[in-house]
Parts: sequence; structure tokens; C-alpha cells
Amino acid sequence: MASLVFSLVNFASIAMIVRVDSGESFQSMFLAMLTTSGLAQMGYGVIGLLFVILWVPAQVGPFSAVLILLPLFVAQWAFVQYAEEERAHERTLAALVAAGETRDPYAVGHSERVARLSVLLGEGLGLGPAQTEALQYAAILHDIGWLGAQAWAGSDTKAPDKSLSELIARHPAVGVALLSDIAFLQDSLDSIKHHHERWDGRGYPDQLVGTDIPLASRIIAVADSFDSLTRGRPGRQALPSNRALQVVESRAGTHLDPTVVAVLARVLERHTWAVAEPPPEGAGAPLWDHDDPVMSDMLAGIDRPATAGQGS
Amino acid sequence: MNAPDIALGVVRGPAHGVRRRLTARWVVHVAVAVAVIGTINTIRNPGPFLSAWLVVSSFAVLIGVGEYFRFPVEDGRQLAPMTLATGLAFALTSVSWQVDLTHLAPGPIVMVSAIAMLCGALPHAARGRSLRVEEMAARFLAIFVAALLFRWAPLWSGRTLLEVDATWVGSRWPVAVLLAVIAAIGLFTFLGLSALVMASRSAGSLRQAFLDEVRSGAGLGLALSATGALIALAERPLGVLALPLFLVPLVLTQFALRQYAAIRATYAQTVRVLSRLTEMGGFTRAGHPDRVAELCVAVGRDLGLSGRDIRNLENAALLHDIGQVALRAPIPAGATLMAAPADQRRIASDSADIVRKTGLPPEVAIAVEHQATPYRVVREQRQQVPMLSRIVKVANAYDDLVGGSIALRRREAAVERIHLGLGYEYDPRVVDSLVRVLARRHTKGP
Repeated sequence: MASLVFSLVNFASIAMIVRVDSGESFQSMFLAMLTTSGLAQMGYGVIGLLFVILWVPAQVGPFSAVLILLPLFVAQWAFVQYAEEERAHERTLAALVAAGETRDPYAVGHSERVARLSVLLGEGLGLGPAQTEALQYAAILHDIGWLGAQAWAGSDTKAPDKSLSELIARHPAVGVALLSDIAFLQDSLDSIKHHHERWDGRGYPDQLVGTDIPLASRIIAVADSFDSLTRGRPGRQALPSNRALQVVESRAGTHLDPTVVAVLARVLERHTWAVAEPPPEGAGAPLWDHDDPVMSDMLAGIDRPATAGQGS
Repeated sequence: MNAPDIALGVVRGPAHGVRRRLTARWVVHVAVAVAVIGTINTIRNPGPFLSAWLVVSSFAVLIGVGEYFRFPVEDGRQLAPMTLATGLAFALTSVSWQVDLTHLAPGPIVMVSAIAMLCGALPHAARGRSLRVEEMAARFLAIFVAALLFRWAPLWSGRTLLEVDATWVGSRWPVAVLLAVIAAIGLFTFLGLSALVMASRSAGSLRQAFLDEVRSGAGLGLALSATGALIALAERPLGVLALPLFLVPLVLTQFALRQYAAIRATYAQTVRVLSRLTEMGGFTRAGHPDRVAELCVAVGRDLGLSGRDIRNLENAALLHDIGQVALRAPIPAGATLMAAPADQRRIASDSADIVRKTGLPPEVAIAVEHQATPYRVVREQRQQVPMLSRIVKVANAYDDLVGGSIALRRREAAVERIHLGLGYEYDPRVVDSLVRVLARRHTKGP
């Protein structure tokens, strides 16, 4: 009982500190801690009790310390290993995705930035820890079907030709097919598949409308568009984040989910968003970017004056 | 430092000659025999078996629960730490509160454990998963060995250790040490039997399997034996309450290990899938990284590499061509063998650069880096080429030459061409191993 109270108070205070410190949601932090280390905390309380039992009524004396501590050491070892492996896993995932991005120098770091922004948006929308994790994986891997394809690499036209347009339309499904074997990604696959759907139902691949689109996909769509605007391309400079936000806001309700766009505005008030550095030599990079909001309009068959990514 | 033997790196001694005829099935046969004999003994002489039904059934329930909550680890095995700890405690308990178990023979313990384990495993079988009898048999025999040593063998001047425990006066710490030692012996039995099962499953060497088993299992094993001894000791003052209470630390351990095993599995999946980035872009033939990895692992096992080396080898093989994702134009059919040596080296170094940025151990990047280095530099310039690289080089060449075909002629032609580069391009020992692996594969399968 005492150990239960102790854990709850402990988690609550840590979550408060983090809330004040970095502005993450109190509730999601508290739940995350309860589900990850709550069980462990309770266990330690019981272990103290066992120690006493063994020492006195079972008459084992000091040797009980050895017997009790052995399993604890092993548990600690496993937790440490787990944490290390998890970090290594995330590094590996990021490095391999980044490797796929190197062919388009302007795209380097795109997946990771989208993942970072998506997580912030997800927290702003009050997603739980499990949903946030699935969102993060979906966001970092959202373009994997695009990175694997290589046909676009040599493209030097102002806009993609017909076969490239088909490739663009297909890349979410290609990514899902590639990742479908990975057990831990099962909750992320749908969000990857629909990350180019549009709020007005004119996106691809399935022309889903509004809230029929998975929430994570709507989040990734906003982060994706925003990142496309804040990085440059050959012949176009990156927009500063306030200008990019204006463009994104102008698309709320047509291209993008208005709720998520509103959260983006709030997130940008709290976090500064650095504009992506242009690559030292951008030779050979395609002149277009499939994530550019203009491209979304073009594929949806909408002709509107170029408000977004054309010039600055 | 530059003696050729050292340059040869990790390979120790000649490839093990004696193939183990003792297969995993033997372990199961022995376990079944023990269970049957135990049951017969129980029927003929039940002892306090029935009067102590509460204690016995509480052990049985937790053994079964442990079996039900077994979890997979990355080498394809399943662990059930709770079953082992509870079973060992069962074998080592002399008095539980006011219930005297000193006349409980090994027979009933063996019988109850067997039934409980089967009950715990049946739901898995009902869901169409494998029952995994070999691994269950290893656990079961560990419990049996502990029960035999403690309750039956007259090890203490003609008396069993159980009798010594029951009549011990004064501080009980020597008893605690004794119980911990017996539990540890039981666990070593388990590790040994597991090594036997693993070695016969993967056609690797028994010695290496045992070393891997001890290296990866010793920590958990110690925790398990300690828990087994703890429960047995605490049964005296606490009765059956000792079981749930003292399993708490173990539940904690199990929880941590499960998470660890899960992230390891996830990690492996991620690397495997992302290695396919190259084939998606048409840089390598479909399935090339997977096939090279599989072949490398088989050759690595045949050469007696450690579990850690095998894991690094597998990842190096999966990612050996990953540098190609940065290329703007694919090389013909993605076969690095056909590329000019300079291009081969560039791809190797690009791949190594990428691997270095991942969270994989540095050995993987080093192995990838040297995959194109010909074997002759080992002799001529006394350079060190890691064993893992030499294996990747041979497996990659074989797969490039065979091209995923299963035709006998293609396979023979490939091996022949590799033989032409023997000693110059390829390490003869690796090539010999490849030939052995291929021979085994094609006599076994269709």
C-alpha cells in the first residue's frame, strides 16, 4: 500500500516537472510512466518485505541479501539492455531512412523532421503513449516507398511526367507492402498508406474524406506539407516558418485537417522551427517535390494560382 | 601480431568433425521416460502427496502459469523462467508452514510438474502453435535433477540432503547455500540440454552452443536458482503464501526480459526490411540480401562462430549493399561481383559509412567495409581481414553467380568459379565451409 502511494506521488511530481520544463502533456507523461515503470515500482516495495521475512522468520540472516539481490541485478541488467537496444534501434531506423534520402540532397533529414513535428502535433492533440509511438514510426517511415523507388532520381523537368505521377500515387502502397512484415508497425501501416489523402477527399490513394482519414495520416500530412515548404529546392528558397504556417493555414479545410492546422500554430508558438539548411551542392536534385502542397493540388486536378511553393 | 594465425581472426580450431547424433529427440524421450517412471512410483507409494494437496496444487498452478506465459527470444526459443523457478522450489521444499513434505519422493514432484507443464502449454497447442516439447523437456529434466539430488541421492554420509535440511538446527544460512547450489546444478542441466537442442537444430557445434547458452543464460539462470532456493526457504515460515510473494522479483525479471527480447526481435525485423530498400529501387536482385544473410549464418554456424558473431554477420550480410541506395544509377542486375573492383570498394565503403551511423555494433560496419578485400592481402600484405567479411564475400559471390536460381548446373558452376579464386580472392576455409553447407542443404531438402 505504502509503495503504491509512493509510486503515484513520484510519477505525478516527475510529470509536473517535465510539464513545466518542456511543455509536454501532464496526462500523457503520467500514463507513460505508470505503464512503463509502475509495475517495477510496486515490485520494489514487495521486495523489501521479502527481505525482512527471509532474514528473521526463515532464519537465513545476511545470506538472504545475496539471494534477494541476484534476481534484482538480473532484472536491472535486462532493463538497461532494453533501454540501450531501444536507442540503438531508433538510431538504426533513422540512419537507414536517411540513407535512402541521400539521392535528393534537399530531402536529407526530411523524414526525421516530419517525425519530430508529428510527435509534437500528436501530443498537442492529446494522443496516448502507444498512439504517439505508432505515429512516430509511421512518420519516420512515411516516404519509405518513395525512397526505395529510384526512377525519379534523374528527373530534371519542372514537374513530374506521367510515369512519375503514377509512381507518386503508388508510393504509399509500396511503402506499406515493404513494411507489412514488421510486427511492431502494424498500427502504423494505415497511417502510412493514407498520408497523402486530402481533407476534401481529392487525395490519394483512396480519396478518403475528412475524419475517415486516420488521425495519424492527417497529422503527417500537415507536418509533411510544412516541412516541404520550409526546405528549399533548386530555384526556390525555403520559406521561413511564419510564412510556411500562413500557407498551411490557407489550406485548412481543403487540403488539410483544420484541427491539426490549429494545433500546428500552437506548437510553433512554443517551439522554434529551424528552416532546413540548403545542401552544399544540390546538383542533380529534382526540381519538384512530391510533398509540396502545390503538387497535391496538381494531382487532385485543381488549378489554382501558385500561392505555395513557387518563388518567395 | 602479424602471424597468419592471428590474421585468421575468429575461427578457432578445425570445423568440428563429429556431427552430433544425439538429437533433440533424445532429450524428449528421456523426459517422457522420467515422467512415466515418476507416475508409476507415485501410484505405488503416494506418501504425503494427498494430505499436502494445497501445497502441491499451488506449486502445480504456478508451474502451469509459467508455462503459459513463456515468451520467445530472438534465437527462436521460448523461455519460461517462472516454470523453472517454481519447479526448482517444489523440488527443494522440505516443510511448508505446518505441512511436512520430507517424505515426498521425487516421483510425485516429477509427475505433478509434468502434468502442470502440459496443462500450461496446451492452450498454445490449441491455438495451432508448436508445443515445443524439446524446450519443455529441458526444463522438466532440470526440475527432475534437482529433486533427485535433494530428495533421493544419499549425498551426506548416507543421508539425503532433504533429511539434513529437515533436522538442521540453528541458523539456516548453510541450508540456503546448499539449496542455491542444488538449484544451480539443476539450471546447468537445463543450459546443457538447451545447448544440445540448439546445436542439433542449427547443425552447429555443441561446444559453441553450450558457451553461447552459458553466456546468454547464466545471469537469468542465477536469478532463477536464487528464486527457487528463496521460495523453498520461505515455505517454512510462510506456507503457500511464499510462492506468489517470492515470485514478484522474478515477475519483474521476466517483464524486463520480455521487453528486451521484444526490442531485439523488432530490431532484427527493422534491419531485415530496410535492407530491402536496395532491391525496391532495382539496385539488387529480389531477395539478394536475405539469401546472402541466410547463407552467411549457415556458414558462420558451420565454422563455429559465437552467437554474437553470428548476429553481427547476419546484419552485415543484410546491409552489405545498402550503399547502393545512394547511387543515382543502378549497376547491372545489382551484382557487385560484376562491378569493377574500384566500384566494389566504393559500394563497400559507402555501405560501411551508412552502417556506422546506425546503432549496430562497430563490428558490423567493419565487416561491411572489408567485404570486397581479396583474401590474398591476408597473406601478401599481412593485413587483417575480419572473418565476417570473408564470409560475406564468399556468400555474396555465390549468390551473384547463382542469381537465385535453384538449378543444379548453376550451383555447380558457381562453386567452380569460386574455386578458381580460391586463396587469391576467397578464404579457402570459408569456401570449404560453403561447400559443406550446400551439400547438407541439398541432401536434406527437396
